[in-house]
Amino acid sequence: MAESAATPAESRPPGTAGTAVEKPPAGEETREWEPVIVGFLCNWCSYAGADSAGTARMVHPTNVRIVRVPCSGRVNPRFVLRAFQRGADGVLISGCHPGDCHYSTGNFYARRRLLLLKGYLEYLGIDPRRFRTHWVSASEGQKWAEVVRSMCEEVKALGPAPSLGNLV
Amino acid sequence: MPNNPTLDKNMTETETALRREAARLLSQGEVAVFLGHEEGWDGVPVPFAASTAAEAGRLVWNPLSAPHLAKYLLDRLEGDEKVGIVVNGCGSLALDRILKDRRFPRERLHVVGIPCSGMLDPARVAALSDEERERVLKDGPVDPGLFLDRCSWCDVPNPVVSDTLLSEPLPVVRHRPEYPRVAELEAMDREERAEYLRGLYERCIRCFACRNVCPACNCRECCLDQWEPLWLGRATSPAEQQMFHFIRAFDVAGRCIRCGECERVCSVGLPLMELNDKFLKDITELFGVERPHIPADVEPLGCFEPGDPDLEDHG
Amino acid sequence: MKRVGVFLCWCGSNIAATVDVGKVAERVRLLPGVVHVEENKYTCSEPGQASIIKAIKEHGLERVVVAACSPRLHEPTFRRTLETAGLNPYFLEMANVREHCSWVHPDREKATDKAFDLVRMAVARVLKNEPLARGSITIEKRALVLGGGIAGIQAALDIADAGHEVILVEREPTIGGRMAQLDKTFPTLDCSSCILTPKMVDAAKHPKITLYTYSELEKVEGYIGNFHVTVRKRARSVDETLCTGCGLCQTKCPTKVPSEFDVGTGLRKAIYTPFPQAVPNKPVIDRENCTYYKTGKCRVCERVCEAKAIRFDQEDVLVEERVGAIVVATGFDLFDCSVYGEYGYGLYPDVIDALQFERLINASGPTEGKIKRPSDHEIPRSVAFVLCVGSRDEQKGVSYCSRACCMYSVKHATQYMDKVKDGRAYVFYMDIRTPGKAYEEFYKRSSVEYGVQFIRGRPSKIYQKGDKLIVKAEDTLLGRPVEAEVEMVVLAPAMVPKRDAARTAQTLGVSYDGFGFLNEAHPKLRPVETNTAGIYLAGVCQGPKDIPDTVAQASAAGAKVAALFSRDEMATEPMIARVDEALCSGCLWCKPVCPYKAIEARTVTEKVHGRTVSREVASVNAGLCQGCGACTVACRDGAMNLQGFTNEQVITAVDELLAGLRPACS
Ligand SMILES: Cc1cc2nc3c(=O)[nH]c(=O)nc-3n(C[C@H](O)[C@H](O)[C@H](O)COP(=O)(O)OP(=O)(O)OC[C@H]3O[C@@H](n4cnc5c(N)ncnc54)[C@H](O)[C@@H]3O)c2cc1C
Ligand code: SF4
Ligand code: SF4
Ligand code: FES
Repeated sequence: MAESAATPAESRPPGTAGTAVEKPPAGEETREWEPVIVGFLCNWCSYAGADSAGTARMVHPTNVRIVRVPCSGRVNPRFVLRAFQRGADGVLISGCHPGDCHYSTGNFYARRRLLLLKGYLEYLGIDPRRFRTHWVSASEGQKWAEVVRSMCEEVKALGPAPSLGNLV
Repeated sequence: MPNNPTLDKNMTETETALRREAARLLSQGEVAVFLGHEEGWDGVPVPFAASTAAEAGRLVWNPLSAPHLAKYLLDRLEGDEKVGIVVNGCGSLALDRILKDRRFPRERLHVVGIPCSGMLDPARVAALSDEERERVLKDGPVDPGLFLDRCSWCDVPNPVVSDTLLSEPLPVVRHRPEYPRVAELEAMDREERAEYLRGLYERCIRCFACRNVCPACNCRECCLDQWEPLWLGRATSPAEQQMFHFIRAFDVAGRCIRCGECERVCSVGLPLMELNDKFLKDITELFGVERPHIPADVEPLGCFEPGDPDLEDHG
Repeated sequence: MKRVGVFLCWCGSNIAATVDVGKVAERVRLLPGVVHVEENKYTCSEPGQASIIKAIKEHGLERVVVAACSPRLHEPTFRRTLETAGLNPYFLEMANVREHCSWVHPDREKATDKAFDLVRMAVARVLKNEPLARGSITIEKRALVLGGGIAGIQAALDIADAGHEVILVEREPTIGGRMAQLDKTFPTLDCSSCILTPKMVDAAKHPKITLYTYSELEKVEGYIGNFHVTVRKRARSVDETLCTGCGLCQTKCPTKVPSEFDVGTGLRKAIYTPFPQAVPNKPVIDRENCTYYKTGKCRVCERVCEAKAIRFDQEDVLVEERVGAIVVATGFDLFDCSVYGEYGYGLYPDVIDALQFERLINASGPTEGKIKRPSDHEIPRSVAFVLCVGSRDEQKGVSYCSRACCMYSVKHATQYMDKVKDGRAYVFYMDIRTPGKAYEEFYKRSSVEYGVQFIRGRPSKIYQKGDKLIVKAEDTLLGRPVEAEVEMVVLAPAMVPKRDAARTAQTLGVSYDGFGFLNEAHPKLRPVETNTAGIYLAGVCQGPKDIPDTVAQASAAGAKVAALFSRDEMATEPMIARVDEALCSGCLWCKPVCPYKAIEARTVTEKVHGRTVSREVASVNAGLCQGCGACTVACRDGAMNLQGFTNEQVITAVDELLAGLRPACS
């Protein structure tokens, strides 16, 4: 097995997804622009659903990066705006179907928060197609793959999310 | 349905009654301190804490007694002495907000309530010519636009919390809240709206006056001031200001009493209620809460109905 | 900065065939904090794990990232590996580069890029991981069973047989519940009391079971392993220790009232045991009806009692008990058939409900088992059985199916035909539902062998004509109206929650559905647990069911309790909510969103400017919190955080992913 000593980390390698449009990272040829979508998935249903998509080898686009949370009720709307602010082209939240939450009521509270959030993001001028919410159960690998595919297509067609300006 | 605010003709008597009641409470030791207003340097009432019967003589109650006082209770959390406070209708909502958020014990309060039919916006009055101002303060305004915005739709003229009332309760006409400014923005094209809001964020200087005055922003330590996690970056940029106003609006969503104080105190005059009203409007539309600005025992985000609107996107 | 080691798994070719693991390694090496990167063919294998342990020791690793399969698969494995190496097991993060990457992204370049991003996020996140430790709570190995129907009796016996003390609390003067009222049970038609009474006696005699009958649960405090319960033992007006159960008082008592046990078909005395086989077989005085309590005169029972056991001045007694688990088995009531005015229940004496029929046909019932109709005590020559009275009727009753009525009505029709050989039995039904072992066969037999007639249709009207009753319905199979002239009608009412089920649920702190049935923690996977840890459900209080299902659920609840009691302490998960008391404003808006009622107010005292002040803050009960994190979002100050999924960790992962994406963000 390959093993190697560490190199001191003075330079951070560039992020690889979603990089190409504005400034291709040094040393890498410009590729077709790919959107970055942050996915917040509950551990018990949707994360497991994405796992089953994997087990069943259901090919889907690479653009979603999943952040695992215990329950959709754990998703703070601040996380979502944060992602957009830092340059995500889309955010996708997925949890158990209403009534099926592992913690029984988590997604009901999430639903209220996210309903408000949805209206608000649009009000702030963020294209609603960039923020999607789905219920995907552990057995719905197929649905997960579909959701990713359709959202990626849509966001890709929209192009990079408009930025509000500098963040330090 | 709009409200027709008027000025109470008996404010001078009410003021005398207020001074007398505060002096009584203080001298009889029922409260250690009484929160009210005194006349500021420019004639506009400013918050004031009277701690002796003599100081109670400095209290004022006039058409410009707009600032709410409930938030000043947070300065008196320590200790166990009783605090007196004067509130009108909307002022009592601010107080109730603090109480429902369990930020001050009801047992430590003596609330003096004053039914109120309208208050003027100090800034608007200040902009008038001297004679005009004098006339308005004496005889009441001809232009309803001189009142505070909240008076134009207020349907809580009588305090919802009080121990003593200084005058007879006023008749109440309930009306459904309306949000014309939100509706206007919603009617705009999305890009146009984004551009408009960006203009607002750009102007925000992050003085935090809105947060400081807000009765619903009553946390021990505001998340906007925290370093770990750094919810809000420290740089001034439209993006950070957007985050700032988003966090604030979302955190008061369901608890905002729609007093508009944030907007009134904003250093650069931003129409902040356009952000808060959006949540109020949506809370009514999505969850059927008829009067979302009235503090309730259960907040709309602290409960749910299995039949709440569907959230799932299709496609 | 903490020293991070990253282990990139090939998973044979599962990952390595698609993801260029070597390239990922090259990039990962440059990440801040990373001091060691290693590729393994199978990281989860013995040698793979050994190599993690070796690297931790050799390179002084303080944090570990494993990029491999789903954490849902091997997170526990690698946590143990870290523990073996002497590291806190929660200093681990996994990057799912197999299920979420190599298996679904055939494009090698893109898959490699994504794999790197996932590892990058994991490295950033692991740097924010805090050491977590499992806690433990002690378990009081005694159980409370609430309700002494067949469900409660079964659960109590199972727990007691496992060697643990049980307190069985029953509101009525006797245990037994509904099953004691039944005559025979489907599908075998064995006598209900023959199989129930021995169990009742077993429960009463069991050295580990304490029986509190005629008692109510007053208060429940505490949490799993440590409940404090208060039980009100209502005054029986009889000294149980002296009473010999001779029954003389009951024969001499002059006051007669309709018997609840016989559902009004018979009478009982003011001093009574509900039925002869009652357990305990000690009477109570019904103070509302007793002549002495009403008029101050009588005391006949006192005079005849040789044991001198009558105590008119007895008072309620409050008993406090500590228990570690609670089984709720409070059963059901029946839907009030008079809601259907068109059926004439309560109006025509010969329209009765199914439970009254059970009493009529019961050998120890008021008619000694002879089916005599109430109006004239004649044997009815024909009987109509009407199903779904209240069930499956959203307008007038409840939307659900009561599950047992089809079967017991088939039973009743069969029993009737067996006793009245030349009689006629009609069953009016919407659907006949027979899911159960030997149920369908039982149903078939009723029509083939006993000649019961089944008519598909819900009666629209029942009215009296002379001494007959006319049942009008639409036969939906034949599509035409039918009229049956019968001499008695038996309605099968819906099973509904106990009238006070909601109050019981509130006392216990468990949730209930729109009808009042108590909610299980998960409809499929946790059918006997409630959302309040340590409280379990058995029987019809959770939803309609028949005796076999009731008993199965009761035994399951008993087994859950026994499993809980198999240890002295219960480990608590560390990935639960935690309050930063310095930040907490004490608003408690977090409290209502917690599904497990894990959040309570707590008073803290602290010194501020030399003064001692106290204030309230939220506090999370580690025994109850399941780590869902709903409370963290309700908390505006960020005082409530979820260990293992902290705000910092989530934000860091998001920030790290997006860092560098836009030139301006740097
Ligand atoms: C007419 C009829 C015929 C039936 N025939 C059959 C049949 O042939 N075969 C079959 O399998 N099933 C039959 N069933 C179903 C059967 O009756 C139930 O499945 C069974 O009785 C459920 O038992 P349980 O212990 O859950 O409830 P219950 O029998 O209702 O027992 C609950 C007990 O809890 C007590 N209790 C309630 N609340 C409290 C409280 N707050 N505190 C203390 N104690 C409380 C009650 O007094 C009662 O003793 C029939 C049902 C009916 C209505
Ligand atoms: S943890 Fe947060 S929500 Fe809960 S009481 Fe404290 S401040 Fe309020
Ligand atoms: S994490 Fe979930 S279970 Fe734990 S206290 Fe918070 S809301 Fe309750
Ligand atoms: S656990 Fe999946 S939404 Fe709650």
